[in-house]
Amino acid sequence: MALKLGKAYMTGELGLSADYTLGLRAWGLVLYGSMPASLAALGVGKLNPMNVPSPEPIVWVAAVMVASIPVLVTMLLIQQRLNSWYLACDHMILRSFNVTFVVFMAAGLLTGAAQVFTDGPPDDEFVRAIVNALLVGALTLSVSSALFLAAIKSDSGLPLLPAQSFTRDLDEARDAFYTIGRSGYWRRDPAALDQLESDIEHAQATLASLLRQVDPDGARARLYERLTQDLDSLEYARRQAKAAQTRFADYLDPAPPALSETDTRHRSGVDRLRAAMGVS
Amino acid sequence: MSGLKLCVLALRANDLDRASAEIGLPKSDVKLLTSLYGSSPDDWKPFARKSVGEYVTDAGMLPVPLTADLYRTGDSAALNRLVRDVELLLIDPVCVVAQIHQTGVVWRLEAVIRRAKLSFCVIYPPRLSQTMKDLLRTKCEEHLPLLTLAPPEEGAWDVSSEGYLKSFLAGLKSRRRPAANPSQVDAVASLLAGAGITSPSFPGTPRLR
Repeated sequence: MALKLGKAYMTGELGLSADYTLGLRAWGLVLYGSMPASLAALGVGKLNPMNVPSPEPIVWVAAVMVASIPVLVTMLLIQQRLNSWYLACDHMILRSFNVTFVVFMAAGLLTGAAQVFTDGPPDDEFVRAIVNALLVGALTLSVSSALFLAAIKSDSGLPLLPAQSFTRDLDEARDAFYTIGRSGYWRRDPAALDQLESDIEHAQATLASLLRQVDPDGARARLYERLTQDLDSLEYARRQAKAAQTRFADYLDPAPPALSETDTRHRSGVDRLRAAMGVS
Repeated sequence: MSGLKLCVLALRANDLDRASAEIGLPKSDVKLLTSLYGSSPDDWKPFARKSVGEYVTDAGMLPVPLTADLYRTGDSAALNRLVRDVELLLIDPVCVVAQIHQTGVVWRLEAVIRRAKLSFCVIYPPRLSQTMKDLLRTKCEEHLPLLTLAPPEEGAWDVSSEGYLKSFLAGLKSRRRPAANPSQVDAVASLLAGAGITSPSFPGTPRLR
């Protein structure tokens, strides 16, 4: 039950939507992915050019097949890393694809530049040269760069990538929301109310820690603040249910009658959280 | 902050037309009342500034409104829960006199409030015309005969200012404190007597720290 923010939290937040679809905070990987080609161009290593015979369609198909394995492996590793760099799972596949695509294109581009730098400009077969550069770039991604592998295989804390403390807090926040989503509160179990109080406190403390690590005026800060407010609403609903069990219905029934403005406001927050946590 | 389970017998904004036709409210009073109601009785702002729940919060108690149960028509269990749990009934005389709710529901609430010595409060909008206020008072007493017998510390019949409402809620809060346990008081008194304090006095409710 991963957290899914959806339109309730994303609407009107262009920066957040761009980050979640394009994987902006992972673009530091471009630097580490391009490193082998860059070093080769400077003479530190050597790139073995592949011999692409001609730019015919069958050659394109073969080129895609050859390059697909390292690119796929890279994409899976990037997806695994992005899972821990983002709080929610919205647009996960699209985001992984976009980051992989950007890293792959950057590696190919720099490989091509390195080949031009070392071997001079290509003759008249530009297409073959481009395919060649992309292929070699794709291969360098998964086999040549220890630094790149370190960046995508584990939480390495390298510069330009999310800090280890940040990803640790994200892990904790995800766990906290998972626990809240499984609370007996949603099944109207009065025995679960005390435990829910400490779960909400834990989630809010983790969000407060995350807030300290991001730009206070940024989209992520606004997201963590909204989640904190919605947790406040859940705490209000919990206290109401603790005082009178009949109040479960006002927050969990599909269409409660005659709710006050205060209850309606808090219920909206609870509904948003409930949808994000996938509670049925 | 302790929870206070309350039920608000007040109009909703869309009940006002029906109520004014039922009672024959003059236009000036209808205009005055329009701004006091919201989509729920819990949104009732008797003095146009704060909702009734906010006054309860200001008095240091957590309002736990059970009013929605009044509108769960066909769910008798909800009404039973409401009658069983309610601790404070806030009454809008316009709502009672216009008979917005079924008479049986109001009677059950009235009976439980009186029998269990719970609290109630009839609140009049302060700028209502005196004629209308007198009419509402008379009719309200006719509709709630049991509550007219309640002693003043249990119920207030003529709350027409914020100060009165606040002092009523402050009194209610102090009455809700747990009473001193006589056996504990005796035990403490004997301990103090053993320490040489022969005539201990407890001006307030003794509490463990």
